Amino acid sequence: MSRAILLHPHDTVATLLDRVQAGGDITLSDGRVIRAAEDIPIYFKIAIQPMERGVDVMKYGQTIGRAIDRIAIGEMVHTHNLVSNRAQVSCN
Amino acid sequence: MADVATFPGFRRAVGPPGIRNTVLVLSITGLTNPAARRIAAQVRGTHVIAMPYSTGLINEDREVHLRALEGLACNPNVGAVLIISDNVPKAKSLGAGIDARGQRVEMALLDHEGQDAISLVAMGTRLAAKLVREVSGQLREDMPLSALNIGLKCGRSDPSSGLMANPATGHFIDGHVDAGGTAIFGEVVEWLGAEELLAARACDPAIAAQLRNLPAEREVAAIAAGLDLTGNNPSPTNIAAGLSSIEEKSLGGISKTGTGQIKGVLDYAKAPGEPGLFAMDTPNYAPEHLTALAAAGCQMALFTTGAGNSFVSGLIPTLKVCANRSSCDKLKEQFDVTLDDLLDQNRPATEGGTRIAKAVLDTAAGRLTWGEILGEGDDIVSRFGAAL
Repeated sequence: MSRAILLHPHDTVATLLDRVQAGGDITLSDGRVIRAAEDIPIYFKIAIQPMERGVDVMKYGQTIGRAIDRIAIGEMVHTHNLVSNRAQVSCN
Repeated sequence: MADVATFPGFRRAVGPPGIRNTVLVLSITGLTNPAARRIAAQVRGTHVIAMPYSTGLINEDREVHLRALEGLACNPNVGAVLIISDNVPKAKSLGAGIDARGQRVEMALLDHEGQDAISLVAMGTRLAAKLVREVSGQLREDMPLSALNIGLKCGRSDPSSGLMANPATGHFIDGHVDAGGTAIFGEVVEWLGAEELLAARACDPAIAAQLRNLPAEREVAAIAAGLDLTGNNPSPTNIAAGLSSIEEKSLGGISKTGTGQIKGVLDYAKAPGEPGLFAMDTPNYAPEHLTALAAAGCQMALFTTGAGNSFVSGLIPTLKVCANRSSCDKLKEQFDVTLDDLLDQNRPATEGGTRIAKAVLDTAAGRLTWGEILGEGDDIVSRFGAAL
């Protein structure tokens, strides 16, 4: 089974220690198991709870940007659905 | 004396010990760079730094240029320096400053060689050879490890950097600074999103304000320039490896600074002057940042990476630290410390810190880094404005 590290109790994403294929199970470092909604490469982020568009995405217990789409549990979180809150030229 | 951790290093007339004993061929004017490179190529035991600029530098740009030249010449890893120049007053003034700091200095000047670069190379070669002979006889002696000033850098980071390579480096740095050592970090853009965590560690409110204001100034400059930071920093390489935003990169990056108090914020290439952990106002690109660290007197750098990054400082041994499994598998002649097994087993970063401490000691004692062996080093001072 694939593994993922959860860095902080407030985090909404975990970091994969193994690549995972869609439908595969992932054990989080706190013992929970979630299912991957898509193929995700090693070290990429997976949503561990649903997120509405506009909410802050949390890693290290800190915000790393905001969701620009609805994100479901098990989906990959990267530049297609997360945008930085800093030094953004076009605010939306 | 109680048990003080030591390493075999090179004693200096003034200031901290070196971990290498290089003769620096320092071309301080762009016109003489080709001659300086020929001199260094002919004389074993030398390292060349060739400054591409000189005339017409003004204001902060000029101040940084001169500070960096003197700082590089007086780096503890330099046993003696040979100045090569097309500008007699500049060479004499810089040479006097270097001499006043107790560093052995000679010079070969184009005007004294009848404007003949061939004669300049001949004169420079003789002087460089003499200096190498002088310094080559010096033996290593036991020196306190706490005399090391260690520069910090990350490059071509990925999420594994923030999970293992950086926090492991941070654990080592905490121990080094607690033991009376010095460390410097910089790369101001990579404080964006982590400013409050850094500011909370400042030793007074003025330093906390600097740790907030410097990245804010960079943010304003990026927006004013119409530059979308995503795609620039994080870079395309960072993004391809899984980092999504500058905040994510910064939060992973600052863990290499450990958890200790931040004693001050240094100007580019400025030496701290006392032990402890310091921030420096530097751009994040490796050649400019590492050169500022070398000019500030760091004898060594710890450089974490995820995807791999071959660049090192030319003057200071730069240890590459990596925890990315496939990078560690592929880049056997790049990483001096591999931590991929620890990350794979989800081991505590403290174990990585122990591994880094061993590599630091071995490198300080003389073991060459991959970057030194393969000659990946270069030294580039930042510019802060246009010349006249």
